[in-house]
Amino acid sequence: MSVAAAFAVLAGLIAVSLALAAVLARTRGRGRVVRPSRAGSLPELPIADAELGDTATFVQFGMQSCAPCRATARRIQAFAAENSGVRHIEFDISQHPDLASKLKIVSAPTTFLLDSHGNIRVRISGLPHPDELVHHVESLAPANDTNQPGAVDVHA
Amino acid sequence: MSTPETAVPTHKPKQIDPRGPRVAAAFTSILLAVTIVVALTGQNVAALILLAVIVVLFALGAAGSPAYPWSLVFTKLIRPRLAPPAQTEDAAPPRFALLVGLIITGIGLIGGLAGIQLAVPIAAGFAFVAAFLNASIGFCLGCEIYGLIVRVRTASSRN
Repeated sequence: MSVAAAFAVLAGLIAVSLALAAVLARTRGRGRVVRPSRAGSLPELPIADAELGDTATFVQFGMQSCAPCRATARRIQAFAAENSGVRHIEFDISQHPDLASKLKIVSAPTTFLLDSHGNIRVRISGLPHPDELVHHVESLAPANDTNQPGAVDVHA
Repeated sequence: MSTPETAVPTHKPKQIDPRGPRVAAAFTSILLAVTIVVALTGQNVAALILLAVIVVLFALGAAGSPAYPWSLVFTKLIRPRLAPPAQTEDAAPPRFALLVGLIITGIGLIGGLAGIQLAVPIAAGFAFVAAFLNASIGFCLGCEIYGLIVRVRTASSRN
């Protein structure tokens, strides 16, 4: 192969890598709204109603050794501290393999945003962008208006 | 690597500066890119030597050797010029990622030595994509694989 052709192959490889990096950078850390028909809810998760935030609850599945998991926990905890009604609950994915397979969790961390009723509304893979936390919690706010704190027991 | 580990609490696994592996991945991807061009232009011996060097580098890193050159470059030359890291990370997943790199490039090296010339640029190509993703956006493919293995192991040990 000529030198020019070899560099062309390398350029192609770099282009593929850049495209992959762009896709990963755009999808990881960004919330995906879960369709209501496919969304799971609180009964699938080992969370009591009383543990839910009045507005939103971030349920994070992570692992001890995973660096982005710890960064995610720090970021959501800081967000929850600034926003009343928002809570953060963390599970070790390796201790809950049944949940991991039921919720189709492949990469760690995977974080679910639950509304005040405990329904899964948004799914985020990787370290969530700060603006995504704000955006998706705000999108839950209307539902919260009809749900007074203390009247969370909707799926009895 | 010369700093004592006594500052690390004993209950915590060994911690590293997360920027270290990314710097190492950047150097590694440059070496792999050179290897790919050299291999594709038919300089088979030179390509094999380059890939052998990369295999040795991956092996040193995966073994956690203090002689791992990229780690030395980072701790001696680069980190002193940077602010302290915002946080540290576990050493185990990125080390496992180096083992994955060792396996991929090792297969390429064995293939090349066995006379399958294309094995060298193909193996280097796969390793390049992984190293590039790590260096550019901090996405560590080997760390993801590590996580999956830990999960499978924990699940099977519970049953």
